[in-house]
Amino acid sequence: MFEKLLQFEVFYQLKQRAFPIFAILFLALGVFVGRQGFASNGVNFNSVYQVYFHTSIFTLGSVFIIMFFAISAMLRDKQHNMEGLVYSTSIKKPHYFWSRFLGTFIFSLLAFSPFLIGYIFGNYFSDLDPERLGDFRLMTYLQPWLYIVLPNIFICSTIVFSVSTITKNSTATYVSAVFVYMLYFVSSIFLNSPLLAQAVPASPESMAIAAMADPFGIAAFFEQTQYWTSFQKNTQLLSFSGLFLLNRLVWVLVSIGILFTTYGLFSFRKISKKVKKEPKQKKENVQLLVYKPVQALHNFKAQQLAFFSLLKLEIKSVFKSLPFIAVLLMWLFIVFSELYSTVISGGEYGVSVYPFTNQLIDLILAPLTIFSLILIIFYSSEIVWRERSLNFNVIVDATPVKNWVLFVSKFTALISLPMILITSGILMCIIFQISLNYTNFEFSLYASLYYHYGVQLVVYAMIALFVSSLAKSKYLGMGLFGLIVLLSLKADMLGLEHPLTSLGFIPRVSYTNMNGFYGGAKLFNHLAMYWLALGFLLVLISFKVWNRGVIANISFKLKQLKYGWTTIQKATFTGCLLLFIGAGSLVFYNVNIVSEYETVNEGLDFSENYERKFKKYESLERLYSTSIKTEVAIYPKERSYTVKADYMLKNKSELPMSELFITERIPLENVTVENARLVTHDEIYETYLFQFDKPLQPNDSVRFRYKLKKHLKGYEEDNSIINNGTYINRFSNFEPILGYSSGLEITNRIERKKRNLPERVEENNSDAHIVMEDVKFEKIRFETIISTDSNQTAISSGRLIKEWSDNNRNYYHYKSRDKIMPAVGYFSANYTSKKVNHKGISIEQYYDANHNSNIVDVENSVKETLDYCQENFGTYAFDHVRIAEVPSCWPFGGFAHPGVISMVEDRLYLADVSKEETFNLVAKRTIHEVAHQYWGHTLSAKPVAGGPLFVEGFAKYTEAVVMEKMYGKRALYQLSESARSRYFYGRSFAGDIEPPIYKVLGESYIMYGKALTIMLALRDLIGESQVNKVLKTITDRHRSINKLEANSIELLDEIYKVTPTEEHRLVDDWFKRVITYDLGIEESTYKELTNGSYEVAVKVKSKRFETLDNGEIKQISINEPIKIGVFTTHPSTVKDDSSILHYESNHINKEITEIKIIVKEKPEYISIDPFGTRSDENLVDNTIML
Amino acid sequence: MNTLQINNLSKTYPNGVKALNEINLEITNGMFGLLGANGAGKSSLMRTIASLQEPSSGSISFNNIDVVSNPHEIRKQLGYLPQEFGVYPKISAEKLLNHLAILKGIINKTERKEQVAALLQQVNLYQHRKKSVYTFSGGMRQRFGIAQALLANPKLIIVDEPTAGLDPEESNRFLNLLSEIGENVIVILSTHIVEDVRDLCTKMAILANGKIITHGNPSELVATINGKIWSKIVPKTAIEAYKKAFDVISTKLVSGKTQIRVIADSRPEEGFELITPNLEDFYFATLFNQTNNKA
Repeated sequence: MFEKLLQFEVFYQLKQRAFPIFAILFLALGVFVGRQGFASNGVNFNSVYQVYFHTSIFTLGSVFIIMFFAISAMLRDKQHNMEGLVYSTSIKKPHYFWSRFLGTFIFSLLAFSPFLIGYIFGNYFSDLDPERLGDFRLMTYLQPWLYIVLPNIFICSTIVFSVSTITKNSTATYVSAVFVYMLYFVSSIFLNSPLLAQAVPASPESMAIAAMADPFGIAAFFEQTQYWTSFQKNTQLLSFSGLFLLNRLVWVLVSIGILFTTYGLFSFRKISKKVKKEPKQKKENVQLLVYKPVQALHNFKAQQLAFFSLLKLEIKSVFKSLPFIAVLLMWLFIVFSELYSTVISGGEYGVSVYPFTNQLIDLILAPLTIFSLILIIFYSSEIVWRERSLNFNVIVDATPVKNWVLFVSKFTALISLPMILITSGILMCIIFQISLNYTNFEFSLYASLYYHYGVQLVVYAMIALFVSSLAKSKYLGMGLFGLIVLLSLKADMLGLEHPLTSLGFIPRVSYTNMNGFYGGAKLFNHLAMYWLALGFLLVLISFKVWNRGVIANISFKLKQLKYGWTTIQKATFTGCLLLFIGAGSLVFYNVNIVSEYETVNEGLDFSENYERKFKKYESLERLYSTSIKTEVAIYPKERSYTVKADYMLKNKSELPMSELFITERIPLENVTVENARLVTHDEIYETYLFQFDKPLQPNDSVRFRYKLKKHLKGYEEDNSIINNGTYINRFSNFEPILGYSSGLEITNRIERKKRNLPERVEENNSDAHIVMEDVKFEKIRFETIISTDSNQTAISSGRLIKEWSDNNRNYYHYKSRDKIMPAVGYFSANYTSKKVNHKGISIEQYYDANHNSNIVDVENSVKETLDYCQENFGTYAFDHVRIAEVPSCWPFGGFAHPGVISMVEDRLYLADVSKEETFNLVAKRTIHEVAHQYWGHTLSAKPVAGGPLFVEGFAKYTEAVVMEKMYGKRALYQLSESARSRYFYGRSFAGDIEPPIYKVLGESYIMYGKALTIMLALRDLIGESQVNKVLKTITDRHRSINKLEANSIELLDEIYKVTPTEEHRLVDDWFKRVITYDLGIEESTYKELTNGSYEVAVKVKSKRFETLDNGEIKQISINEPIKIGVFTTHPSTVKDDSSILHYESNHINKEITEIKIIVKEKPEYISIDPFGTRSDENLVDNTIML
Repeated sequence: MNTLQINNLSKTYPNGVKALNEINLEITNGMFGLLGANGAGKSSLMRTIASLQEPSSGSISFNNIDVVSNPHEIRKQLGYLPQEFGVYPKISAEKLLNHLAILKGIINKTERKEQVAALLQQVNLYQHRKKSVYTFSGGMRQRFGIAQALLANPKLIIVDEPTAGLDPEESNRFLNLLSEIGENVIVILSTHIVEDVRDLCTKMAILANGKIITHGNPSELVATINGKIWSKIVPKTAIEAYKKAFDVISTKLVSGKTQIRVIADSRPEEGFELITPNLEDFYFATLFNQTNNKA
């Protein structure tokens, strides 16, 4: 019997057209994804990691096929009114239930599995870089199928099938499918799953929760592989253990439980609707009314009334429908959790931002468009087809309501959907602001959302309406529009990246508290007109083809479109058409003609030709500046600045020079080189070639002068020159490059191959190179006269010599006392300033008047840092520290120019560190940048491998020691924890094999991450004063030398000098090898001794691993002192020594070591390496509560 | 006096079905019955008059206004009860009726309220007015349909099979109401229940295969077959033989026995009795002639 039923089930499902369609769809999807070549640097396209990554994400899509099969398995009897017949036969319940379930499960599995087959084809039959394709291994694809596909489809089938069986309702089934799907996204957003790029790496605890909560196992997969290096990603299969194993096991068991519960609940009887209690009708004595005709009116008022009545009905029915409620709840939940996690529970380092309106708005925008589009896709056809699908159109369409009233009411209902989302999001923000006692609501800023985000959605709604009114059926319209949305969001893949060709690419207008709206505002306004005009055209056409009663065919609709145009309609149509063409032309003119519009390909062509034409000049010796004088005039309102520069250039080579090659960054108005004439000027590639009248001898100098004007035309945007907060820095340098710029070359290997360009030469990183490389670049004299509008202050490096006003402009003359690094910046904004003199150093702060919450913290941190540094590293190089605020459009925390620091508004000024227990991020950032005045500006390392250790490594070290001094060891815990996760996270995405730290070059995960860990380890080994002595020795040695010569070999020599010989091995391990640790407390107990003290017994685990040159990770022996601490509070909350009972180094040389410690007070926590001096993936298991 | 004029009206569906074929009719105040078998084209004709679908050719005018090019004009005068209709879920009868009253153009709130209440009483739904129409039984929903068709001040009321699903009592109530209203307006009643037409209508037409095969006053039409209808009780097994031998227009069971009716100018055979024909006989006779003429 069971076999027969299953056979029939197979037969039935096979006959459904959907099965082959789904199977082919997933096959195609697999091919598409497999050949996409999307993998981070160094990871093979067909690595196990990649296959897992893609397969697990695409199993999310399986929910929808499962939904289909479940409905067709469980609800077909009901849909076809066969229930009565089927249930009254002699089928036994188990046979019936299990055959239907297996049918659903097996067919979902069969329909999805072609994805992997397609993936294999995609991998091997494509033009992917063959060097990044490993050998074919069956397990690479089989394992993900076994651990991901099979269980996921089982779990989802169970849930969806159960809902469908119990409710016997297709809408409920649909909702359950959407729910499973949304659940994943919500949990991944809420728990910071790494699938969504988060600024803040998830904490190990929330990672573990996410790994368990996610039914698809994606979070668990990420949890296991988060710190895998490229080598591991390429070679390792997933281990079926840990949280991943637990996740799979728990969810499969939960599913089986659900399935059996459903089986128990399922009964062969038809679901009878609950009889609702009838609302009690009072026996009322109503006066009997006689029917008499009532005169009806058909004037405008009547139409108006009709409109509102219709609209009310539309909106009500949307509000009462399940999908809407589900989407709205999800939306509110996400908005809530985004707001909560940022303004209350804290973001980076657990620090919240003040709830400025623009800060909150930024948080809710990301999910807005996607949620709105889901609503529009679903409800556009729902609303358009509502009466038809209910068969109520036969009544409504026969009423004397005008077409436009019916149409506009539907249109209004549709566009109100995104508006509801926006409004509810805004209300949520306001509630948060009120609850945090913040009352500067900036309603106009909130209102701008309707424009900046609403317009795009309204246009989408218009297109949806158009598609739905042309489509022959409800679902056809829904599908078609869904496709259009998808295409418009992926238009770049079709080569339609121009703003006129893709609605999905409408620019986002940014806002910063300091500068207001910026970034694409003008382009947005014009595009808004353009798209709205198109939208209205489509709406008008939809209106013309709108027909009542029986649905008409296309030819009839076309006929309708041709005839019966009223004057108003004609005028509107012409108006919209003109606006569409007009705004379109305006955009085209500004994008393509005023500025040069460059497609990606054209950009590559440019680079290729530049390289081909001018590569020959790369070998030409360069001239280096020894002094720079500039006159910079900033015109913030006109968005322009002019520069007049006067340099002295010196021939530092040993040979006479006869030619000078220049690549300009911003078109030069005028350029002259003393004793030289211009030979060629290439206007396309913006290069100049000068020839000296007679060759420039070694050590001779020439004057070099140029003039330029930067002016933003059309829609051009440049963060460096804005209304308030102009900041011309190294990212937006105007200075012409005195030579060939290899930075313009194409770096992508495949692209180079395609264009027949030779392979780029790798840099030489040998020890000899670090010492011998002759870097000619050096410190310079600097002088500038910088002017700006009368209401702004202009700032640059150097002492302020003179300050005056003339012609309604402010002028400032700065001149450096000594030679400085040429990394200067030019600032101009409407600043408030605060200046204090601290032991002869003037601490000057320039900031926006509204951003004064953290000014005192900044000042104190500067003082502390200066005190510490002067005491330990020698004299401060300037007589001032100038800190200037720049708008939040800059993507960094702060930047140190010589004597001048830029700090970004939201990362420093808007961070809320008012609570004592929060980590003081303001202090951290301030200390870091002030430290750079030493590490970078006083001690300038040679810009070769190892150099960044001096700049960022030492700054991180200073940051940690000063923070510890100011806030206790808890600050150290936070800093080292963040350095640890940055290191492991960064190295897992690094393309190249990790270099040891003394050769760090561009690896930010080493310079900001591992460098701190190692400096702290060194401090534990030889003591803080010895470390500082090393730094001071080197600083003093290089302080007065203009050339940049300090290097890591020299540093190691100095370290060896102060380190006992037997520990040199350990110094080498840390600096010259790549070593990671796995430390942890296995178990620990304590007992009270008779004298009132306590004895703690602890078993610690300590393993050491080395990453070899080929990327392989190998366990090695351990033999070193590591700190073990006993505390009365968790190490992350240690403020002072009173909570530290024991904190000593223990010599560890085994994997498991047992230790006994006597402490005076009752111990609460025990920890190995509590403050992160070793690179250990898991810091959580270092500490346990006793 | 209202006039509905239908000239050469034809409707061919995209699949080739000719639903209406050269229909010509002139209808004035009073009840007009439209008789026809299932699929004869009644609903197509009704929908076309109600401006819910366009004719393929021909014209309809109401009080000299062309309906096809000016559908809005007829909608102002129209009360329409379709044969089948659905409603929005989760909205009460009273609210839905009020909504429709607004759509019909009753802008005065008091008037609207009064008429809605009166209609709900009239169709016996007043005590159910707070319930959702979506949950109504077939008969109740039909009564709701009747109520909405009478909203405002319709000059042309089209009711497509209005009594389907109604119990006899409700059916009577409704027909009485219709005939009352029908004195001053045009009421087109489509049905296949012959008695309804006989009882109510002053004029009628019979529709078969999209064509009007006959029209006129019911009693006058019945008079045309006076003295030609013969009846006989026959055994079940003999029916086929009779059908071959005579022009049998109908067979039906009377108290468990089969009675056949035959149209003939003289007594066809021993045992046949002459009966006074009714409208039903006329209807069957007309259909019989229609089929046989075709053949």
